[in-house]
Amino acid sequence: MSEEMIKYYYLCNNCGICRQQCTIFQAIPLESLSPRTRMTLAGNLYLNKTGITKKTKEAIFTCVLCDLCGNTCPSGVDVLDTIKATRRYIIEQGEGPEGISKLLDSIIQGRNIFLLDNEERINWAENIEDKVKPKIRQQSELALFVGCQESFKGSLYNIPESLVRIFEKAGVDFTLLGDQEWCCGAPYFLLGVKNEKVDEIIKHNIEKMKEFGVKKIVTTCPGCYLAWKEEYKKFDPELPFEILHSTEIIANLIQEGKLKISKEYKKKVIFQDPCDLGRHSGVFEAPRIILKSIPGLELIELPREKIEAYCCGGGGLCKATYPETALAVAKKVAKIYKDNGAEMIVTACPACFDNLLTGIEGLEGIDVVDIHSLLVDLLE
Amino acid sequence: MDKEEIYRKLVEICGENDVSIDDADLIATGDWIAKGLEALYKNISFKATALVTPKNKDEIVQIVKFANANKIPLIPRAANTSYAGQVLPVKDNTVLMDFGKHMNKILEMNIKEEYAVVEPGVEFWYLQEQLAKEGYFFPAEPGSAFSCMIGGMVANNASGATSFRFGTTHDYVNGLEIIMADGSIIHTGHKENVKSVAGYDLTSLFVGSEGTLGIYTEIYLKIKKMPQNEVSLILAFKDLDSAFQAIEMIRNLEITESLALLEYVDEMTIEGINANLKFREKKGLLQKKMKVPKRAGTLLIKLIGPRYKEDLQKLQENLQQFQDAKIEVMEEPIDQKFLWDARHYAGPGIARTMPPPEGPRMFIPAILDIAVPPRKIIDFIKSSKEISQKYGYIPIGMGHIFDGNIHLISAQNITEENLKKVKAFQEEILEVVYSLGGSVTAEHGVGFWKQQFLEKEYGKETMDVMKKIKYALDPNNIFNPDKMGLGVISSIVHFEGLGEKR
Repeated sequence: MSEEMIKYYYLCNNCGICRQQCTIFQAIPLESLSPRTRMTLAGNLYLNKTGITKKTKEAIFTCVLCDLCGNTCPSGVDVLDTIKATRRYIIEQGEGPEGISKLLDSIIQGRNIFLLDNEERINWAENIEDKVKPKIRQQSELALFVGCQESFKGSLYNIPESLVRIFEKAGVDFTLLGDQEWCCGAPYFLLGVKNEKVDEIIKHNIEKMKEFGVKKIVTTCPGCYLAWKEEYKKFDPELPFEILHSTEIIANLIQEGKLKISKEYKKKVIFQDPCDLGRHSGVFEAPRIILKSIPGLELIELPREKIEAYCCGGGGLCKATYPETALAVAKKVAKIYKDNGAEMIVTACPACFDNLLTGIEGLEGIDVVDIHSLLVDLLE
Repeated sequence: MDKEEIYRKLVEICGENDVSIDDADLIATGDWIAKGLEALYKNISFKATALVTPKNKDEIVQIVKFANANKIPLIPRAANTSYAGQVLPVKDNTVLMDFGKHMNKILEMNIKEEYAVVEPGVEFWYLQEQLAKEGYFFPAEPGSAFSCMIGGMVANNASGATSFRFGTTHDYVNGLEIIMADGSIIHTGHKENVKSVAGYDLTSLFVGSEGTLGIYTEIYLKIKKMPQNEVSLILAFKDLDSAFQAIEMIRNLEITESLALLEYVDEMTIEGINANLKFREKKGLLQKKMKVPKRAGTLLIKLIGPRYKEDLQKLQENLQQFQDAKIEVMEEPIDQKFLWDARHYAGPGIARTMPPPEGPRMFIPAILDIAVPPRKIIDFIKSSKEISQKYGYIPIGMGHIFDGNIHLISAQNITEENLKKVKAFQEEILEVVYSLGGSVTAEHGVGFWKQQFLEKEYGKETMDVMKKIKYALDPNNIFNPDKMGLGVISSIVHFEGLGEKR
């Protein structure tokens, strides 16, 4: 049991301002799902005042780790650290939510979150095999780290596919690891669970990148991006790679004139800032540079924008453990966007895309598109 | 009646999804004193027996009838942001009734007639956001504006820094729909803005009753057109006396139409404000670097409305007599917003300047929310500083000067020894408050932690009348029992040797 669980227990003074910001509480207004109560529950577990109950588990595992509460807590409570420490404790007690152990085992045994054959990692490129297969494990300064979600989930194949097409148009050389790409390990980091075998995975990914002369690593998944940028850097402070999100590279290519957008896109659009890319990494401008370069596109900025932007509800493993909760958030957020005039939600994260796609179900006149897929169709 | 039976009956009324007997729903969330006492004493626990989240008034009527027939304590709970233990379960078999999940709708917003009808679980900030779209607002704004709910505001007659200008929640409640202890539904006052002196003013009785008399199911509110324009000022004087001379000057200036806020903040409060501003700057939320100068006599002021420019000029001219005062005028709305947000959360903001506490602690309840007649507040501030020094407590002080209301925030470790010291300190401070003709609570309410002071404030006879009202309306004492000095026990903070030590 980690002291992190109780670090803020006596600091939170119950003001409740966190509730106004909390992604989950605002969708399901139950006190047990508010950040301040999560802090109390974590401390109570540590003090052995209560056991691991069903609702305690729900409170701890539905937190999307968006850190919106951290934007406002006047006392400086770090909810994320407490949640991760408490998740670790619950899992160690064998009480983790259904599917969590399987997910963690999959990463160790199968090198991906789905326990699928890692050789299928390249299935996403089925439409562009000729453009992708020759790039696998070739010497290049730039490597595309595809990530498990986009590698294995058919509904997300178009994200890396679009990026490859964009790279082709701009003449960008790149490599990728193919079946030698292993899960970045993000679920372990989100659950605060330590495992020596995860260190082996990190080491493998780093070594492979070095083997092919890689200097820059690009991901379309903000979860993988944050893992490389923070956790891999913790593992190896001398990590010799620049870590980039795809939108950062694309924004540069547009500004350098290497990508020309020829078609109009006459829609009112809201950009869904992914938590891992925006609030946690400070990348807000790159996706906006892309969107503002598209003729006809009207970008709506809400009063709550960028660091204060709404979370889609799909992160922090909430969707994996409590899908109905993630859906409730997505529905609420999609409705807010629609009420603010958006016709299209543009995402730059597979989890946001996935969750908001279910969130818009039943709403007329609003859709979701991934930023790469949107852009690729508009290029000259 | 055993717990299982209570649970079964509640499920029968509301369904499984809206009844919980899971510890996560039953604990005393976040109440510092409760947490501390639970840590200190083995046999003290503030845990409810069940949580119920009713969907409508029909379910509430059934629950109340069941509770009344079986003498089951029932605590109506909105946002649970009160600081005096208002919704703390203190009796066995307590059922918490939470309105946030379902009863959170704005039922009507009539801009033309300037009223709104809401359910108790509507969040205040959400109501303000909806009203703002129409250029309207709900003028009584408590410090917990970002988290409280209307039901709780009405139950506590909430107010805050602007109440000297706009009044308290009570002034904006036209009427209420209430479920009484026998399950009957009554309507007090009127839904719309109606001038009426017909009969007893039951609305006034129920506003501020802290859930002890009945359960609100609909709340009829007055709404007002939002004043346009605003400017904020930081006035930093070299000492407290200069600040209070300036306050007297402002009082005589005839700028009351524009004056919306006038706050005194002491040096510790300024540290808390600056800690919050610095944190927001680090997050990239501020447009520019902001800092309040740390001086002994600092006032924060806001002017609003159509005359704000001339009144600002008048104020600035008259401030010239205070030659060493540092004056900053803020016109950008976003800068003003961050200044006032930081002021709201200055108390907890102090925590940012020190490591997290390792053990249980609490704000000293009796000094958290004191009021004296407005012109006597400087006397109180001076006396309270002396007493605090004697006890080695250094409270953070901030006050709504024109209301004579000052919040002294002192976070104290909860140990048996310190509780005794707190008790003596509270009594000494309240001697001063009562000798000045003041009150133990201006806006936070009595709840559980301040109830032992009420008899001293009003006298036994007055408390007896309050108790008669309570028991006439709630003969079985089911609604939020043992709060507000109406029950048989007083606050545990003042019990010695009550608990078996851990």
